Amino acid sequence: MVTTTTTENSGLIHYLIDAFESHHDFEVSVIATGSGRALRHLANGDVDIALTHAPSLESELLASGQAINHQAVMYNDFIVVGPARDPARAGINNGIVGVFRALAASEHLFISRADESGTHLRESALWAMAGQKPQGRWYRQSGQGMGKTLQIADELDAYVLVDRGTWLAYSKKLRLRLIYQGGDHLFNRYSVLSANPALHPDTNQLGARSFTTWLTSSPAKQLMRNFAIDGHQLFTPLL
Amino acid sequence: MSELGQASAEAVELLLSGDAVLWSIISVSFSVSLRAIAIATPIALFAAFTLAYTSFPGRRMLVTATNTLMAVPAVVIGLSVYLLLSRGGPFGDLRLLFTQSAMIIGQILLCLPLLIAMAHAAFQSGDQRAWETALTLGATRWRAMRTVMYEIRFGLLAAVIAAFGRIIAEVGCSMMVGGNILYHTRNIPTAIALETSKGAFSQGIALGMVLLGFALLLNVALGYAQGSGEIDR
Repeated sequence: MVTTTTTENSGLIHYLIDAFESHHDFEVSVIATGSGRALRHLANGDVDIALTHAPSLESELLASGQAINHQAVMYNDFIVVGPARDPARAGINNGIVGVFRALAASEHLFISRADESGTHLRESALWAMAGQKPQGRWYRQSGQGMGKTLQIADELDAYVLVDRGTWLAYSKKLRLRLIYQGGDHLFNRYSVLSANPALHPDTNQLGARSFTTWLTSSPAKQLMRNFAIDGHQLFTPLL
Repeated sequence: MSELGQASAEAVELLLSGDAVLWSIISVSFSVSLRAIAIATPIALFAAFTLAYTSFPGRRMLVTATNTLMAVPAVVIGLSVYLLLSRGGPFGDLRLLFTQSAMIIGQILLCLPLLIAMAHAAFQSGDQRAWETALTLGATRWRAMRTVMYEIRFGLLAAVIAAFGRIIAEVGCSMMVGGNILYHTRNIPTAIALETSKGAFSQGIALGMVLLGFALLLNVALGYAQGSGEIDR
């Protein structure tokens, strides 16, 4: 199975897999990369199943027949975090477009995932929505996972777009603070898709189907609701 | 196998086309390592000279310590520098972590033991009479030191080349304290590590070729420097 660094860094995926493995005769090996790469692995048949949060890329794969059995599983949101004193005055804006315009205008340090992950794809979409092309010394590209990118942003006192799950898992260790949240454009949906057996007959279709079905079952949904840090639920199951 | 061939062909293309990202990675590598060796060399030369030409209590222990420090793995140096420079650490307020300065500090610590040890060996193998002769001819101690260094210049050059070879190719320290940020702290070894983990091999191969080519150059230079240390007949 391939999943995104956001679900891995938050700890959810191992929590879910432990439960799945204790009730089923399957063993799940997980690799975590950004959604873009994850879906490429799925299309290549390197993995049996993918859990990603890049809806546009997922649709593309389904349309081209490179993946099957798409199932939306859970959601949370993206948030903008940054230095507590908010030097770019981003948080006071009404709407994420205003936030990103303020960030571009202030040229305060911003760290991007820059790795075709679901988070990076959303960040690029938001810059485009705000009519900005971020470049220059203030816009830094880590090219690495969410946990590492947060760490870099924390050390450099920079702004960064992060998913709620990873944020809650890391926030206590960081000096960064929540700057902006809310709105449709920050909705973050996670789905599973399976490899197409017609293209890759040696993938574990039974395992993939089992896991997909289990993820949408009541016990799995309850586990997702229970997965919390400091009383904050990280992911909400889709009904 | 054809995938490897294709990636290699793309790598050559990347190098020849002057790809901006590729050349930024190469320039970060050289900029950081050259600065590190430039700062470390005078310190090491002075320390090695002191160890070779003066005696003081604990001198032998210091020599042993220097030789032992050479064996410290790059990741351990990286971890130590990281802990010192992070916001929670004693030097956190300097805000050096994930900058080129942090990489330079790490690389200085990496190459210093090697530089001192090799320079010390060069001083010891040099003709001690040069020092005494210079002094009796009226040279100041600084001038005499420079004379001695000129005598063993090829040994010193070998030390610098070996040390530079170590730091330009290391990944353990640079990765930890630099953060691998594109255009700022992503150098050749950290970029290779990253690109390989992404499965994008052509950039990794291109950078590997650059590093290999440079390592070859260094070794040719090292061979020349050490070869020239022959006893004149």
